[in-house]
Amino acid sequence: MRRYLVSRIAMTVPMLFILLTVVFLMLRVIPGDPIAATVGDRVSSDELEARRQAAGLNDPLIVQYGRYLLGAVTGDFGNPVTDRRSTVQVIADTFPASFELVLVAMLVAVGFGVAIGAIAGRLRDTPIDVAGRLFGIMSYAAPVFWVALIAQLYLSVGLGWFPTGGRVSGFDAPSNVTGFYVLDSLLTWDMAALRSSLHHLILPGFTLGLVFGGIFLRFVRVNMLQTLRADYVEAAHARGVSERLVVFRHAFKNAMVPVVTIAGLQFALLLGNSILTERVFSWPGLGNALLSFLGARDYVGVQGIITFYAVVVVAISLIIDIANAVIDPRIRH
Amino acid sequence: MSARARLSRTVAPFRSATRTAKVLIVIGLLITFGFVLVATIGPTVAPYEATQYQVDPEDPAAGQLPRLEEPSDDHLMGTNRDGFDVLARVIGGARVAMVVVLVSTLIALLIGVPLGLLSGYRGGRLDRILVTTMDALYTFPSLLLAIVVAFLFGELFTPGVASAASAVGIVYIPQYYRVVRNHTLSVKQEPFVEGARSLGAKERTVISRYVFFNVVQSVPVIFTLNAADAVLTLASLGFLGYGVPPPAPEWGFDIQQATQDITSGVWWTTMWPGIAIILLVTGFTLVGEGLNDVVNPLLRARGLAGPKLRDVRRGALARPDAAEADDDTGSASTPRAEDPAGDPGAERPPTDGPAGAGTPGSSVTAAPPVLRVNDLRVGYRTPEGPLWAVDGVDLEVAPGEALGLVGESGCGKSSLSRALLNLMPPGGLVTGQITLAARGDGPGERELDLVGASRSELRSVRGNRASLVFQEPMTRLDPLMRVSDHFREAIRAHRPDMSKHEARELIEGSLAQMGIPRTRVDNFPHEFSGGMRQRIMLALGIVLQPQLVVADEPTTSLDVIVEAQILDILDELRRDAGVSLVMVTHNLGIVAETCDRVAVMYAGRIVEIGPVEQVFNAPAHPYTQGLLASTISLETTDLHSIGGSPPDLTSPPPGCRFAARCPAVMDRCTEVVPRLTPPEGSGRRDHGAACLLHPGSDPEPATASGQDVT
Repeated sequence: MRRYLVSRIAMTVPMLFILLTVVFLMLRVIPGDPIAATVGDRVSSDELEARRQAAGLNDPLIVQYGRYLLGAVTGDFGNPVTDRRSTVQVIADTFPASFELVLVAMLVAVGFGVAIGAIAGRLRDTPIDVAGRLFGIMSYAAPVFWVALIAQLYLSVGLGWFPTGGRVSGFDAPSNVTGFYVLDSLLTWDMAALRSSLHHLILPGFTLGLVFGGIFLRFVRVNMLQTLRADYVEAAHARGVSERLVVFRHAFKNAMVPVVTIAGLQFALLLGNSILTERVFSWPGLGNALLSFLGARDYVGVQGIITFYAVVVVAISLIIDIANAVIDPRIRH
Repeated sequence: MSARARLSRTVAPFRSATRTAKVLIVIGLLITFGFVLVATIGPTVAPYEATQYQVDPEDPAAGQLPRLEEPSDDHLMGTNRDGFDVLARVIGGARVAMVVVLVSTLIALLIGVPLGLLSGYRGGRLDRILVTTMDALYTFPSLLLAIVVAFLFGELFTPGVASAASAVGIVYIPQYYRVVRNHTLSVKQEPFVEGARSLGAKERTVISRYVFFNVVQSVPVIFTLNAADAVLTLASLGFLGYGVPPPAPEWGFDIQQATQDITSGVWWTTMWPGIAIILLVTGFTLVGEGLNDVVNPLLRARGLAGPKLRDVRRGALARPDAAEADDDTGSASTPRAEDPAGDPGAERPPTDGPAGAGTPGSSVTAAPPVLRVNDLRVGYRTPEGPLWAVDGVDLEVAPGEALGLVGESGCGKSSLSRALLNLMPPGGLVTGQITLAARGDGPGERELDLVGASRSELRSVRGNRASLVFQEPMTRLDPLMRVSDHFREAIRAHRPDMSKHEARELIEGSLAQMGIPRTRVDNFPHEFSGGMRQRIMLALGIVLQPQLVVADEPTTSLDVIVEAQILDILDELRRDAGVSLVMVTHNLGIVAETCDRVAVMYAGRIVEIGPVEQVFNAPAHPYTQGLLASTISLETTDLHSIGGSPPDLTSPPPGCRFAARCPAVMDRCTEVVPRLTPPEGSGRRDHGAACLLHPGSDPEPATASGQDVT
């Protein structure tokens, strides 16, 4: 296990390196420079030059590249032109909100995707299977932002059951400890904040999770189809093991192994798609921060946030592989 | 390959697809083609144009279209806040979406395919760099990637359909790259590439052509699933303002514009584009998933396509309800036919043969048989109609006896061995009688007909009183479960009262008997060699001291030393514990070594049965003679083989099924079905054969259906 861990961690280095290089190259193809693009028409050319110098934009590209890589590794993602905060500070302020949202969405997606997918796979080609599949396909086919808008229209505006946006209402925000409101309100035992933040999480979390649940549903169903006719399942039947145990202990458990891998990819996808949910529900997360940097054409800010996403993606894939090794004894060797 | 042959090969998997799969594909195709139609001719037939805000574009005086008007006869889907007709916007959006799907796929193909070829062909460092880059791109959230690319392209060029399509397409490059690279890598090892090169063909041309034909098969699935994703990505980009710039009609952008309308009760501007997206994505996904279901051999629905099975047992009226009862539930459990003779599981006198039961056997034992099989049939559903893999088999196995079951592959041996435990895949059907003798007086130990038994009765027999030892030891153990847990599972199912300590002792003891050390009992299956796993399987089969062990090719794929060990263990078991054994094999040597009697199967029937020495020394059936002649003999160097191949069991020939290949065939062979004499179950255990050349094979008139009629 230890040897696997070491070699797996070593594998993240080239992946991170390539991702960072791609990010750097992509944001350097744009003509002009970030400072000119954002404030160019409002300051004098002298000041522009001074700010370029200060930001290191006059250095050779290779020096900038080295500085960028070093910064990314040491946790310095640069300073946006349009924000007084450093990129790291912006991330620290907004990422917990996104992460909290994505976690709830992930729970929803896995919960209903795995449950319906397993049942549909077990009852292949019955009406329940067809209904489950159609539901899975339709929920995947519905655009995240559209489902969010419709839910907002009918459940928040129409029926008034949920708030239309934000993380908490009024001044209910818990005192900042971790940035995760649910966790913070539990830590400070602030029930009003807990209730409010949960209430605000439901609609964004469910609308984002529902859409991704469709992917889990289809994936789990297909895996169940395969494991249900695996040789070891027939062998378990031949041993006289009860149907229920065969399905749960053998077919379902084996069907879940690849789901862990997919869950990792999905987590990254959810993180990307949460940008849509954040937009609809005015969720003060990382996605909205990226959108405002994009809107202001602040390349430095964009580059910083994308770099952070890259680091997160690499970290997730590492965690997933380790989780897989824990679950599946074959990988450990 | 002729065009027709190629077509039929392409269509073949579709014919065996289940009805649901076909229906879903057809619905998907209908939706997709509907949208193609809308995208191509929709804009020309629609009453308004997508960007038309004047009632009559030629005549400004006619005024402008109303804004935010409810759906009416004039504007079927209403108008939006710009005064555009929503129906026209939805139709125009379909065209934009289709163009983006096509262009983005083209971009992904144009970049992904050459890179994949290059990477697989050249290998080395270039390959490693490309693989890591593509993996990194693949794991990066696709929407974020698309947003950044769209933003960059917007900065570099004028934003438009092309930049949006590029942003969408970049996301799919890694998928095409991967498929092409893997095929290229695998073809490089193929001997025909070597061959083609020696014939003077350019290696590169050969590889490209081969890869092309292989990739073309997987592209439709990737394409349709990507198309679905592309529609969603494009709409998401539009919603965030980085898609196709206005006033071009684009669903996502239109929905974004409509967000302002929602609070004032205007639903039609949001609803229609959203529904259009859902429909189109559903259409693409249905096609892609349906294709995948059909093309992917791992997902193909075996045994669920084709006409349902009917119980066609001899003498019994067709009982459709019996087959229907378990139909289409996809249940992995055992389908069972109800027994018309009485209620399931009830004790009943054994069905007597003509000579009467209990007549002392002429050759061996007087003890009642452990297993008695009467008129056993095993059927499967196929698109060509019902296939009776076992078609009227009678058998008896005495206590402590070993019966060998031999025949070519496809003759029904494996189906028979599973049917002996009534273990059938979904859609399979077992009819007839399988009577397992009583083991004791306990409630779970009585005589039982396994065909008529209830599920829980069957469960209590399997692995307990009768067990099945499979071939393929590598896949029969659950990879996620410790070896000891496999045993514990069986013990808990059949001996719930056994204490943990006792169970542990039993597990370690029975594994030790097979030469598996106590220290390795808790290891996982993958930590054992193939031979060890086969011994584990065997230990699992006999741990609860069954009356009957059915071993399906237990030594195939094992080396000779392990094979000898396994055979010794089985022999011991029989002698010491009186376990009866049915050994399925194609190895006649094993039968000669370990079995008392042998049954030769051909095309679902037993054609010859009897004591091993008699059958092997004086085979009565031409098929047995051929089978014996085709094994390598040490005395002669020539190897005979039986010409031709077994008949198609979905439409078996009338008369003797071996007639077409038989060297001694007579006219009468195709007219009457020879009977196995003396019949099994008659109490006589003599040498019997089902051949007109064998005395007593009473002829009976043949029927067109190939089914016997008494």
